[in-house]
Amino acid sequence: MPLLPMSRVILKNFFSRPATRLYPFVVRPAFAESRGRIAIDYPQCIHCGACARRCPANAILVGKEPKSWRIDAFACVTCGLCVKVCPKKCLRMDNERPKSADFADKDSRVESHVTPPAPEAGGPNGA
Amino acid sequence: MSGQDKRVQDAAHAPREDFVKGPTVIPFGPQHPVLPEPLHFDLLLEDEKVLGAIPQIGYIHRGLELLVEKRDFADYVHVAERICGICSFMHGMGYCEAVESLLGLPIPDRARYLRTFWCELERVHSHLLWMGLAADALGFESLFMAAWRTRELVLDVAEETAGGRVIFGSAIVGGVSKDPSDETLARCIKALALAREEVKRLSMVMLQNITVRHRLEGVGVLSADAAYALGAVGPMLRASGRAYDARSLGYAAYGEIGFETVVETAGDCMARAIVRAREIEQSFAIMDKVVAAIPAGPVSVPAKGMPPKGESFARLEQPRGEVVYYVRSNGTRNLERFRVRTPTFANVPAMVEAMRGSSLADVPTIVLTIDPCISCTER
Ligand code: SF4
Ligand code: SF4
Repeated sequence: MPLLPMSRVILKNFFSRPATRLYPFVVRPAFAESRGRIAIDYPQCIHCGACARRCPANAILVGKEPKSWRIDAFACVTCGLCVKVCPKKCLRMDNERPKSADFADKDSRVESHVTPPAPEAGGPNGA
Repeated sequence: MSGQDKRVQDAAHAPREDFVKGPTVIPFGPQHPVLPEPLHFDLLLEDEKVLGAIPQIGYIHRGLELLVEKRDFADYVHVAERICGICSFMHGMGYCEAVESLLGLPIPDRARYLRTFWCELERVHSHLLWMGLAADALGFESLFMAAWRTRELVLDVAEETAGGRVIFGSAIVGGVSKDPSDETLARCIKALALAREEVKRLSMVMLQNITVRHRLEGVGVLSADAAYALGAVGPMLRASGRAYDARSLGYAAYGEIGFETVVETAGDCMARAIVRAREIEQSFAIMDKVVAAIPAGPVSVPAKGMPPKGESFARLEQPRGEVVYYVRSNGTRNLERFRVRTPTFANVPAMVEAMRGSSLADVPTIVLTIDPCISCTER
């Protein structure tokens, strides 16, 4: 009967902290390689649409008129292909995952950037 | 005593043959406290003894195979990975291996080694998951917690190397998409050594515990011939004394790394538990060897062009047994047919056979020792 190994575990459990964290107050830092949310440096984007064409999940929508870029974070399968194909290197994959609270309301999972059709260049970058 | 009471008493003491005609049918699942999977049985019972079982699946069919007609062949790997939440990497990899053999595309050595590493990582986390579920079904709550706590170490390694805990997302047609550095791999091996110690202790606690042994020994015996004839695969087959493991085909880097097939001969639930416990230990050893021998170099080659008209197969050893992938191409970017024969599907007839003659209380144990994964089975 393996009494000893288990009693060691029991003793250890008495004097150690719980194995779980007090999420969401304590969050384990993400690993460098973790797949998280796709983020865009929108002013850099030239709206070529390469990311949208390559996306296997059709998560990205690039508009020409008015110029816009949007991503559905729930549709994204975090494959990272859009990051690879972007000619301007303005996409990146964060290693932080969004908290579920960030998606509390229905529209928050879609991140959308629109360039208003301004006559001069250098308009606001959208929200 | 009133006339009514007398009749009831007479009936209770009547010879059984007069009282019940034919076996009792007890529905078991798809929702059952000990069953983590939506699997349904009609159990035919005589007293407590199981005469037979009629299995029924079909609760979580998602039609993933058909999607292959709608997706680019290179993109479909993301769908293939989502066939199952436990063997996710192996499903993606099996699909890739089948497509790569169709394309005649040899993948880089480093990719083959990394695939082997992730396969074994997945085997460890799957077997630990099984250990937890089995312990839970036996009422061994603390072992359940301990097994899953250890599994967390393994999942962390998965996230650190592949980027995902459950969906690794690292298998692509032509290689792998993540290339963990040698330092990362060395760090992971250290973390895995901790898990290995822990698993050794847990296996010992589970396999030597007297209550666990009472529940598992001599229960659900499957003879070697029956296992073979019914097409059992994986630990189910190996626990019955047939030394067959698809890894011996030498896919990925198994040919170079080498390993020994784990066999037990008793064929009961205990033997299946022992096979899994020994396989975890072996997987750790394989991962050590892979990291020691991993060559440098690129991890993927671009998959150019269309898959030619034709068909191909790939076979892998998943934690639950051998899985077969079939792809057929019609020369366009969308494949015509994709088919997976999953290990649980192959194990269901053997499981029904193992149940025959056991008592009702042992049915959950027998179901759990085949480690069913219905999500794969129905796709
Ligand atoms: S990571 Fe993949 S799925 Fe997500 S938006 Fe980019 S291409 Fe699409
Ligand atoms: S590929 Fe890059 S530049 Fe082109 S639309 Fe997408 S984000 Fe913008």
